[in-house]
Amino acid sequence: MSKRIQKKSVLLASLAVGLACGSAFAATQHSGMVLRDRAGVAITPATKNNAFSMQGTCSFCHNGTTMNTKTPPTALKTYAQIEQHNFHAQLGANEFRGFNPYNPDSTDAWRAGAAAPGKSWVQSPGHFGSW
Amino acid sequence: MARTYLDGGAPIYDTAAAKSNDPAFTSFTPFDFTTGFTKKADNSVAGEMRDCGECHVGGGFMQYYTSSVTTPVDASAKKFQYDPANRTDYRDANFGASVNTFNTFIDIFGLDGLGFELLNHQGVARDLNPASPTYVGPTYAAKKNDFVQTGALEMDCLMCHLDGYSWDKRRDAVRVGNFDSSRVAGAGLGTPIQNTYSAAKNVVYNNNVVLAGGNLTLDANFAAKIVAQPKSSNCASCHQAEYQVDWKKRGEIWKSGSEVHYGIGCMACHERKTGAVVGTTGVVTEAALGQCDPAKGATSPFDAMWNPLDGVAFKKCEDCHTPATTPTWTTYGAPNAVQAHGAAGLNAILLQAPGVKNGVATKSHIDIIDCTACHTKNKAGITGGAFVDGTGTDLQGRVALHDVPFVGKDMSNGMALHWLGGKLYSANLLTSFFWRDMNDYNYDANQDGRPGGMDALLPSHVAKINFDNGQLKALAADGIINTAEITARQALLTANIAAQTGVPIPLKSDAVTPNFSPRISMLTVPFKGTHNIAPADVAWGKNGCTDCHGANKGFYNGAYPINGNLAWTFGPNQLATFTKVNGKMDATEGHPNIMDKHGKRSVAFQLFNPAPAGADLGVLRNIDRSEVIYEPTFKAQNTALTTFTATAITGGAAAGITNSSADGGVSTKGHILKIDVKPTAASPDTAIVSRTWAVNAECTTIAQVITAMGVFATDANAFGFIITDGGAGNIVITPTGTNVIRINAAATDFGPFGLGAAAFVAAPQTGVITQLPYAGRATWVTYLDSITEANSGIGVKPFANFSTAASVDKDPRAPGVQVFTGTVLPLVANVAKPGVVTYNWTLTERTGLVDNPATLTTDEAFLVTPLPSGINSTVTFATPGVKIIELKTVDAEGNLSRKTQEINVIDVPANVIAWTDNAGVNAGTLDLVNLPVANNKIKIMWGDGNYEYVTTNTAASVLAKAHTYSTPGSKFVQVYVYMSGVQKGYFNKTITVAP
Repeated sequence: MSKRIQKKSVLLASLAVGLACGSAFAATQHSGMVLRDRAGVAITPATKNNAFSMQGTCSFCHNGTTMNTKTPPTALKTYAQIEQHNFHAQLGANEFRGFNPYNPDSTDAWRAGAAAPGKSWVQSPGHFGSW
Repeated sequence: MARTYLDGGAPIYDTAAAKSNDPAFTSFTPFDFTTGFTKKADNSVAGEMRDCGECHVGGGFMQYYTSSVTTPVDASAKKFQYDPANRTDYRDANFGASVNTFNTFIDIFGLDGLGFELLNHQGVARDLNPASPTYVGPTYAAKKNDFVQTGALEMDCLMCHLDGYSWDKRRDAVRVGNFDSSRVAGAGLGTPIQNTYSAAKNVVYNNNVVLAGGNLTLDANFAAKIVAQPKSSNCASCHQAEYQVDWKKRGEIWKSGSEVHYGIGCMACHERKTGAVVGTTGVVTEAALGQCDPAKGATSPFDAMWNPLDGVAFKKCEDCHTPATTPTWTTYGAPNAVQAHGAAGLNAILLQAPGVKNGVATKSHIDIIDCTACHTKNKAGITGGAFVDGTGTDLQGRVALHDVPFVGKDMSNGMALHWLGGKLYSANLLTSFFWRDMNDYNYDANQDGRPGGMDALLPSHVAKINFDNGQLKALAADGIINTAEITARQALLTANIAAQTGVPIPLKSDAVTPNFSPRISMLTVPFKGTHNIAPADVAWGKNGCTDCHGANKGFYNGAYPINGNLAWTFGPNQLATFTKVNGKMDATEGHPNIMDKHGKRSVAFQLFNPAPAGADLGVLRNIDRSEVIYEPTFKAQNTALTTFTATAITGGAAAGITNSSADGGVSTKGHILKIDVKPTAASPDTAIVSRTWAVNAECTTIAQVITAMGVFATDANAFGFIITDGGAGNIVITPTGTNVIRINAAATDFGPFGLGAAAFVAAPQTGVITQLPYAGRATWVTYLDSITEANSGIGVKPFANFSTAASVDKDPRAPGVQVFTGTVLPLVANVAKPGVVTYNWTLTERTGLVDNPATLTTDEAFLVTPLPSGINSTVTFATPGVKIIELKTVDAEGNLSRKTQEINVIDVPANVIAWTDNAGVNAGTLDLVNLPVANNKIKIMWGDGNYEYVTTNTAASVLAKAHTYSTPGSKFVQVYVYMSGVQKGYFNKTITVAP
C-alpha cells in the first residue's frame, strides 16, 4: 500500500470514528469498517487471503484516544486494556502460582486451601496451567 | 497436566523455622520437557488452545505467556508476579529447541480435528484405520505448534458482540490450529482455506459481508449485528446450551418458559450497576470490572477465579426484588418479594445463625437460604450433567466424556443444596470419575515427580492405551458400566502404563506382581444453580412449610439422582474412595470445600461401598440430599484446636502412621502436623508462630515417626514444644517453658497422627421448635421433617396474658392485689401461641413529679425497669405504691401482643396486735403496740359483730383493751387508728379464743 493510500485510509477511518464511535452500537458504527492485520495495516485485494486480526482491526478505533459520544465523552479503551483486565480472557493467567503449589504454610489461601493438595498440575485457580 | 515454568515447583521447607516457603520466580523460563513430553504432560497450553479454546474467547494465555520478571522481584509471600508488560505474544516468541507447554501439544483430535467422528464436515467417511496412510484420527504424539503458521488466539471480540456468531465454525477451526482464521470462520466473514496445522491464516472471505474495494470492509448489514451488549444466545454458546461445556456443571439453564428472566436476557442481571469503575491493569487485586467483564455473582470455592471481582457491581436478586433503597439501576419492573416472603412465614425468626447450636433463633429463612435455592426449581425435560467420565475419550477425541445423554440427567429432580459461608445455595451435583493408582508408595504413575497421593493417571495415557487396544472409548459411552468392563480396563492399564510413563512398575515383595492398582475414583462437586429461576408461584415454599418440611420432599432431603442416566455396577477392588476430609478422618467423594453450616468441618459422604460383598454387587447410591449438608454426627472443634494450653496434648493410637506397606501401596509420607505456639498464655494472637512438619519417611512405629521429625520434636530450635512417644502407639505434644500450644486446625492431618479425639468433639444441634438436642443428620432431618405451620406457629397471632400467685395478695379485703415490698413475686405467662415466642417483662413505677421547662408543666415521671425475660419471671418491689407490670410477647414473625396489670405494693406492717387469752371464759386482753402517733381515737372491730371506739392520748403508741366473746374460735380483729378524724393506720390479725 502506498503512503498516500494509507493516509487516506486513516483519514476515512478517523472520520467514521468521529461520526459513529461512542454512540449506541448501530449499523453506522461498524459499517465500512476496514479489516486489518495484526499491525493495523488494511487488508486489500492483494492480501485478501489473510485472516484479519481482531487486535489490529478493533485497535484502530479502540486505541485509548478516540473519544466516544457519551456525556461526558471518554476515550475508547485499547485492546490491551480490555484484554488484560478481562476474566474471560485471563482465566487464571494472572493468578498463576506454579507447579505443585500446595503449601500449608502459605499466606496465600489458595495455595493452603483444598484445591491444591496432591494435584501438582493445578497451577492456577482458572484454566491456565491446569485443566 | 503440563508443568509451565522451570520456576516454581514445590515449596521449600526451612527446617530451622519448621515452615515451607513459596518458591520465587526468577526467570520465567518455560519448563523444557525435552524428549519426555508425552510421558509427563497431557493437556498443555498449546493443547488447551485446540481443546478449551472452543469456548475460551482468546487473549490471556491463549495469546501471551509471561516471559520475563518484574524488577524488583516481589518479596511478599506471593512470589509469582503477573505483569501484562512482561508478556510475549506467541507469534513473537522464540522458544528455540525447547519442548514446552506453550509450543507443544498432544495430538488428541487428529489431522482434521474431528477425533473419532465417523464423518467429516462434508459428510464423507473418515479414514480411522491407524495402519492406513490416509488415517486422519488422533495419534497421541507430541507435536509442535508453529505460531507463525497458525497465528494466535487473539481475544475474539465478536464471539460475544456479534449476533449470530458461529460457535461451531470457530470450534472446527481451533481444533486444527487455524487460530487466526478461526475469527473469520466464527464471525461468518469467510472460510479457512486449509483445515490443517499449516497455512492456518489463510481464508476466503465471503463477498456478501466483506466488501472488496480499496480495502476489505464490513458490509452495513453485517456491521449492524455487532452489538454493544452481548445477546443471550452468545452467552449460551458456552454457558447454557445443552451439551455445551458448561452444561455439565449447571445444566440447561436458559430456556424460554423455564427461566422467568428469559425475556430480559443475561445482561439484565450481569450488566454492572451504574457508576462502576473500569479496571485496566489486569492485576488480580484490582477489584474493578474490566471494560468487557460481565458483572459476576458471589464467590464459590468451586469456581475460584479472580475472586476480587466476585459480586463487584453485580445486580443480586435483592437489588431488584427487595431493594433497601430506591435503585439507581434498571430493575425491569421486578416485583417486590418482601410481602410474599412474609406471607409465607419466611421472614419469621425461626433459624439459628451459623456457629449457634443452642436452639436460639436469630435468623429467618431469608437470612439463611439464598434466593436461588428456592427459585431454581427445575422442570421436567431440562437436562444437566451427572458425570464427567475421565476413563476415556468421547467421539470428538476429547479425553473425557461429558456431553452426551448417558452422562446427563433429567433436572426435574436434579438440584440439591450446599452451604457456602453459612448460607444454603442450590447446586447441581456433578461427579467426575477417573483412573488412579492405589499404590502411592513407590510408583509415580503420572510422572508428576511424586509417587504419593494415589496418582491420577494422565488422561492422555489412558486415551492412548484405549486407542492402542481397539480404539476403546470412555466407559460410559454406551450408558452402561459393569464389573467385566472395569476388570478388562484395569488389565489393560496395568499391562501398558509403563510404556506411557517410561518407568517400569515396581514389583511387590513376591517379585512377580506389579505394584500398580488402577481404581476408579470419583469426586462430586456442587456447582451453584443460580439460573433457570422459577417464578414465585412454583418456588419452594409457595404452599407453606410442608412444601419442603416432610419426608422426601426433595428440597433438603430425598434421593438425589447421582446416577443420572448411567447404569453402574462394580465389584471389589474396582473403585477407590476419593479422599478423607477433616484432617484425613472422614472418607468422602465430596469436594473438601463442601462445608457444614458452621464452616468448621467438611461434610463427608460416600457414593458407594468400596468393598461390596460378592461380585458385581456394587452400585452408586443416589444419596439423600441431606447428606451433602449435614454430617452423620454433628461435631465441633475441640479445645485442642480452639484454646492454647500449657498442658500436654495427648493423641490416641496413631494407626494412620503405622501402616506403611510396600505391597499394600500405602505410604506414610506427606501427613502434616502443624502446631501453633504462643510465648505465654497472655501473649496476643499476633505472637502466634506456627511450626509445620510433614512425614518424610515410611514408618511403622511412633518411635520411627518421632525420629524422622528430628529437631521438630526436640525443641532444639526453641519451637516451644517437645513431641514424645506416649507408649501406646500415640504421640504426646508438650509445651515447654511458659509456651502454650494448640493444634493448627486448618492444616493438620489429625486422623493419621491419632489426634482425632483431641481435635473434634460431638456437638449436638438443638432444634428451635422442640428445644431438644439432635446428635446428627438422621435425627435432625426427622426433626426438620416434623416442622409444620401448626408447631412453628406460622400464621397464628400471639395472645399475651399472665398471672401472679393469688396467695400473694396481702389484703384480700382491700381492692386490687396487695403485695408487700421486698418479697419476690412470681410472674407466670400463659403460652402465647405455638412455636417461637419471646416473653419480655417490664416494671413501671411512678417516681414523682418533674418540672418540664419546655411546656411549663409539671409531669409525672416514671421509671421503667426490664425484668428477667422468659415465660416465667419474677419481680421484687423496693418501694410501696401502685406499680405496673407489663408482658410483651413477640412471635417469630414479629407479631406483638401485650398485657398489663396494676399491683398495689405496701410495706410490711409492723407487729401491732397481740391477744392474751384467758382460757375457759371466752375472754382475754387485746394488746396494741407500735401504734402510729399522734392519734386520738382507736376503732376496734372484734370480729364478732361488735366494735368500739377508744379515745387515746395523742402521744400513746400502746393500748390494752379487754374483751369477752360469746363463743370461742378464730376471730378476725381489725384496728383503725385516727387523728382528728384522719386515718393514720390500719391493722388486722386473726386471733384464737380458746374454749
